Amino acid sequence: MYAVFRHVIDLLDRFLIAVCCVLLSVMTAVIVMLVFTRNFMGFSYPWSEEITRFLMIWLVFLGAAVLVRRDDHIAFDLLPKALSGARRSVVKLLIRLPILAMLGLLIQQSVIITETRGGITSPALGVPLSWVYAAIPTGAILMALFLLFRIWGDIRILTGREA
Amino acid sequence: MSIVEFVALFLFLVALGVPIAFVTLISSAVYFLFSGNPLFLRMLPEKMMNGIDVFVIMAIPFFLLTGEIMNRAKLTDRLFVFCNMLIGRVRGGLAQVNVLASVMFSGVTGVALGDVAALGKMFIPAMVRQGYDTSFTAAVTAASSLIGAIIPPSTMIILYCAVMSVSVGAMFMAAILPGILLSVVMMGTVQFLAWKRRYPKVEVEVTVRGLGIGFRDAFFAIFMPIIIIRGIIAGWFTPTEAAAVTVVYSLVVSLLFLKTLRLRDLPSILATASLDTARLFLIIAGAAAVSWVFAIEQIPAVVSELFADVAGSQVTVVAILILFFLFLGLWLDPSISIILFAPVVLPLALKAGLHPVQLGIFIIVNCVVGTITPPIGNILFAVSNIARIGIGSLGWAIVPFIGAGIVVLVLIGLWPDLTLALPRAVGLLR
Repeated sequence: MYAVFRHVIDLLDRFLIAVCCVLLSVMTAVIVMLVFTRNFMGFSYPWSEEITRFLMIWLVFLGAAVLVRRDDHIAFDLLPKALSGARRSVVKLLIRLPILAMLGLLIQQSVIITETRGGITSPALGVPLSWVYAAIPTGAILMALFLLFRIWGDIRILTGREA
Repeated sequence: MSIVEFVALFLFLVALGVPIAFVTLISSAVYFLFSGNPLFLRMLPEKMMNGIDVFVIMAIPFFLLTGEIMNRAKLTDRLFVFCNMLIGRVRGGLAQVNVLASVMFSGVTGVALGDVAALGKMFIPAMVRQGYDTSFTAAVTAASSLIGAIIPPSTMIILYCAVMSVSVGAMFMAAILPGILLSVVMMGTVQFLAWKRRYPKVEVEVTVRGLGIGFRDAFFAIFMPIIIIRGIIAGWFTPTEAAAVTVVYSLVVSLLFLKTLRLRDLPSILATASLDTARLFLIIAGAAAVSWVFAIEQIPAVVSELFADVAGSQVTVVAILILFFLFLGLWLDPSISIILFAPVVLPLALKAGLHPVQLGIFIIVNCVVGTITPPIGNILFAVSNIARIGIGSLGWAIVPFIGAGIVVLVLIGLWPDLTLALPRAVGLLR
């Protein structure tokens, strides 16, 4: 059961990181094209700044979810590193549960905000701002999912099913 | 919830080991939750979005990508060989090479902590083989990594500009002299210790061909910050556009000239740069939420009032700021210290006669010196892991370098021309 979920989570991790790579490549390409056309061809397209900003926001929230999966956010981790085995898992749980609670609040609030932005369109691209704001609940849901999987792993260690 | 409870919760979560981005988000969520107004909670996503939806900081992902490309292209190895041919045969030569190569490499990368792993894995074994003691080796590596934080392009400078609405061009120009000074002071410290402790002197084989290749590689590294600054000042591109252009530059250099990069390396480079971006930007988003808490609590005004008596004395204010940011740098990522506390100390610094640009360079250097300060600076930890030595012996070995850093800091704080002369000379500041 755990192994099956693990497989799904890893697939999701790989999918998200691929999306992030595409987003970063497109951002770079758009801005480089802009510099090129403005300096050498005498025109610029007004939506370049907007689209790059929007892509970056999605990149940040999707990437942050992958970092939760990989336990790779920057932390001042002297305490968990000093411990091992079951004690370490207890501390890891104490670290993860408040994050999960916060993510719950964040999902709830960001869904409301996303809904209220549906009627507003961005000035240059003309897309509803809800498309941009949706990055927050999407990222937060993915973070919560990865975090739950991590918590499951901690509990398996605590109950002795995994070393 | 009072500000004291807020700070206590914040510190508790940090000490527990909660990732710093989530510390900021949890503590501000709790603050909003107990603020008595449920609508405040909506500020959490709102402020996160405001924090990262800024055009200037979009330069950061591109600079991170450039740094990663140059890193994978093994530009550091090339610079190492070149610097070794230049200065390897003086006493303590390899230690000097360590500093000089870091300075050159910092012109193509924007971060301090990022390079310490790559550089450390190369320098530390090489120096130990020549007979340097491990603690000195690790201390030099940690200290020289600081220079990258201010030599343009620098992610910290861009972040400061975004928070304080200062011109990136002016900040980049302002960083040049302090960056050079910091390098010179670090190299001076190394030389002094090398003479005093009789560190090894070795013969280095120098070939004309090797020097030629070395000059070319070093030129690629040094040319990049020059195009960035020149282009921004001349108005060819905005800082964000300059950053995207450097991605192309680094790709061309590493694929066509260095030939150490293959196209199939690109996906993993993009993945690393994406995750580095997400890691930093979630912190920025969280810090934006906390800075709103600070605004509600009117922290800048409180701080100004608290220090009203000493505000007239520049020396006292500089001393207080050094201690304060050194303390923050110990356990907080420099990006958080900048976002949260640069606006807080601004009124105090202005009253003491510091220019916002000068304050920016001052704070950035101050925070990164904090990251190598024992007992808990995080660069210190990274290096002690790589060198496999205890934090205790490294802590002692690094003291001269912290002293050197503080000397530079005092100069930046008390001597405005060090930072402001260059941007004024090119007309970026009045």
